[in-house]
Amino acid sequence: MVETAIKTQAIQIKELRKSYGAQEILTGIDLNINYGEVVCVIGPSGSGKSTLLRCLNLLEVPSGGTISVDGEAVFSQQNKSDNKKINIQEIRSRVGMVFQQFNLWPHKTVLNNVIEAPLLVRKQEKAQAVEKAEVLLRKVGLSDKRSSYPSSLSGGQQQRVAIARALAMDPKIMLFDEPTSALDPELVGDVLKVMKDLASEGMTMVVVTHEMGFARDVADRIIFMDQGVIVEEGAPSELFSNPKSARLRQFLASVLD
Amino acid sequence: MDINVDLIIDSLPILLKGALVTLQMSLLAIVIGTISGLVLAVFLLSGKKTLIVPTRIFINLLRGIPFIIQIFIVYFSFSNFGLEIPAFTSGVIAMALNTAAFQADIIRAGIESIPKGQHEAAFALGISKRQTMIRILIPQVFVKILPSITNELITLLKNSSLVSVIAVVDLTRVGQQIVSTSYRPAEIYIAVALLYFLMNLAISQGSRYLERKAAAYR
Amino acid sequence: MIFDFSIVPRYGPALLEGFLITLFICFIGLLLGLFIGGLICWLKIRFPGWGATLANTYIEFFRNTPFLIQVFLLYYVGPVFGISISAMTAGILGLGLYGGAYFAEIYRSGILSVHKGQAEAARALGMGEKSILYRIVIPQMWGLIMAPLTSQIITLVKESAILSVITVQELTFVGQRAISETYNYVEIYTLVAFLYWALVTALANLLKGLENYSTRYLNVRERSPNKLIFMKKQDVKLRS
Ligand SMILES: Nc1ncnc2c1ncn2[C@@H]1O[C@H](COP(=O)(O)OP(=O)(O)OP(=O)(O)O)[C@@H](O)[C@H]1O
Ligand SMILES: [Mg+2]
Repeated sequence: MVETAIKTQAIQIKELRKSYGAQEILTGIDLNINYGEVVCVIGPSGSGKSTLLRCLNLLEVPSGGTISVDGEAVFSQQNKSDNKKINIQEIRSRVGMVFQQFNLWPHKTVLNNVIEAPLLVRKQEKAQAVEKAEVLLRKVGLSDKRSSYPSSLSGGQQQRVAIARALAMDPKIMLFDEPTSALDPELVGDVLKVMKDLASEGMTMVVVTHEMGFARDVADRIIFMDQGVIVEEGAPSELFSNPKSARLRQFLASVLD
Repeated sequence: MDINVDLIIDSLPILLKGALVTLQMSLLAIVIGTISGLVLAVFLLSGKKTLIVPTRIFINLLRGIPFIIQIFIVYFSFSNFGLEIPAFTSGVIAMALNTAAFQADIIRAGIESIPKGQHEAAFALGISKRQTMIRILIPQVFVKILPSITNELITLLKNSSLVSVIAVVDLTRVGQQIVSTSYRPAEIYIAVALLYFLMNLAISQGSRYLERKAAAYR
Repeated sequence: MIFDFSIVPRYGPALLEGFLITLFICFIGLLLGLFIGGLICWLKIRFPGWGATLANTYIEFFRNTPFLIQVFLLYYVGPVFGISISAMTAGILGLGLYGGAYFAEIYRSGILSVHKGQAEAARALGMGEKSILYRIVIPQMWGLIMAPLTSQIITLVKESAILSVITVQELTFVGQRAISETYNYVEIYTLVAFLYWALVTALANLLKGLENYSTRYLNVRERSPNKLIFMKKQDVKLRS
C-alpha cells in the first residue's frame, strides 16, 4: 500500500536518495511543501539541487525514499511494484518545469510550443488550446511573438515562453531550475517579474535560484542544500540574517559579496 | 539447394590471389592518391587563381562523375594516345586520381587547422619554408587525417572491384571467372564478399592501431 | 582529335532515355533506401540487444563489401534458389539495401545529436516517448543530417552507374552500347560524364535548398552544417 498523502500538502518527500553509480548525490532528503507555498532552493554548485527537482517529476528515478506530489505517490521504495502502476505522464502533466536552458522547441513557433502538450497530452480542441495560449502569452508579455520561432527571441523572451508553455498544462506545481542563470543581466528582471506574479496568484513553486534578491522577496521558505542534504531551512528573513550553520554562512558570504 | 563447401575450399587459392591483386592496387592507389591529394591541397592553398581554379574544376569533375566512367576514360585515353598500358596500371591511376580529388579538401583543412604559430616558430629557428612543410607540417597533418585516409582506403578497396570491367584479374574478376565455369554464384560471390569484408576489417583494425600509436606521440 | 558533333543527334535520344532510366532507378532506389535506413535505425534504437546486433551486422556487411558484389549476389544468386528478378529490380533493390545501411547510421547520429533538453522538456510536460520521438526529435534530426545525407545521396546516384554491369539499361549501359557500335568513346564518354555531372550538381544544389528549408527556423549563424555527434569515426562515412 502506498501511503495516501494528506491532500493539503503539494509535495511530500521522505528520505529521498539518489545515486549515480557508486556516487550518492542525494543522501536522504525530507521535505514537505504546502499548496501555495513558494520554496527557494539555494546551495553551492553540485549540491544536488537540480537532481532534487528532477526527481519530483521523475526525470530522474530516485534510488530510495518516497515522493508524493499533489496527493499521489510518485515513487515509493518500499512498494517497488506500485511504481509500475504510477502513471508518470499523468503526474508530469500536473507539474510544470522550467529549465535553465529554456529548451524551447526550435522547429515550432511560439504558439505551437505552447499548445503542443495541451493538444497531445490533454487532447484539447485546437481552438481551446490556442485561446488559452493567447491568454498565457499576454500574461508573459509576448502576445506579439506568437508566430515567431524561438531563435528570433531574446533569452529572456524565450524563458517567458517556456513558462507559458508549462502553464498551458494548468499545473498544480511549478518547478524552476535556475531559470535566469543563462540570461544576460538586463533580461533577468522580466522573467523574475513573471515569476513574482505567478507567486502572488498562489501558485505552488519550487525555485532553484542564485537570485538572492528574488529569494528574499518572494520565497515563503528557503532551503539550503549542500552535499546532498538539506542543511538549513527557514523563512528568508530568518535564514539570511541569522544563518546557523557555518556552511550557510560561508555560502552566503560567497554569493552576497 | 545445398552449399558446395568443397568448391569454396578448392577456389580459395585463386580467390586469394585475386584478393592480393585487389590489395596491391588499393595500397598503391592510396599512396599515390594521398601524395597527389597533398599536391592538390597545396595548390588550393597557394592563393594563386591560376592554380586554384583548375584544381577546383578537376576536383569538382572527379567528384561528380561515377568512378566506373572514370576507369573507362583513363583506360581509353591511354590507348587513344597509342600507349599500351596494362589494365592494372590504368586501374591504379584511376583509383589514385579519384581518391586524390576526395582527399584534397580533407588535407587542405588539415593543413589549415595547424596553428600558424608553428610555421613562425620554425621560420624563426631558421628552418626553410620547404623544410617546415616537410618536417613539421606534413607529419602533423598526416596524424590528423589518418582516420579519413582509412575511410578512403576502404572506399578504394571497394571501388577497386570495378577495375574488373577493364579485365584486371582482381578478386571480383576471379570470382566471375570461377562462376562462369562452375555455375555456382551463391558460394563464390559470398566467399568474395567475405574476403572484401575481411580485408576492410583488417584495414580498420590496423588503422585503429596506428591511431593509438600516433596519439601517443602527441 | 576532333569532337564529332554528329554523335549528339545520333545517340542523343538513346542517351537521354538511359538518363531517364538512371533518374528513375535512383529515385525509387533512394526512396527505398531512406525507408530501409529508417527501419534499420529503428531496429537499432528500439531493441538495443538483438536488434542492434542484427542492425550492425547488416550495416557492416553493406558498408564493407563492394556494391558490385552486392548486386551480383542479388541478381545471380536469386535464380539459384528459384527467385528470378529482372536486372532493373535487382538494381533498385541493390541501391535501396546499400543506401539503407548508410542512411541508418546518418539518422541515428542525427537523433543522438538533437539536444537532450529537447526531449526532456517534452517529457516534463507529460508527453509520451513515441510522440517525443516523432514530434520533437525526428523533425529536428532532418536539419542536422542534411549535409551528410546529401553526400550519401550523391554517392548513391553515382553508384547507380555500376548497374550497367548487370545490364540495367541506364545511362552508362547505353553509353557503352553506343561505343561498341561507333568507337567514338571520346564523344560518348564526354556526354555521359557530363550528364552525370549535371545531375549530381543539380541534386547538390536542390538538397542545399532543402537543407536551408529544413533549418529555416534557425538563425543563420546557428545553421552551421556540422553539429552532428559522430559516435565512431567510421560511423557515418560521407561517401561510398
Ligand atoms: N546523469 C548524471 N550522472 C552522473 N552524475 C551526475 C549526473 N547528473 C548529475 N550528476 C552529479 O550530481 C551532482 C549534483 O548535480 P546537480 O546538477 O543536482 O547539482 P546542482 O546543485 O544543481 O548544481 P548547479 O548549481 O551547478 O546546477 C554533481 O556532482 C553532478 O556531477
Ligand atoms: Mg543545477
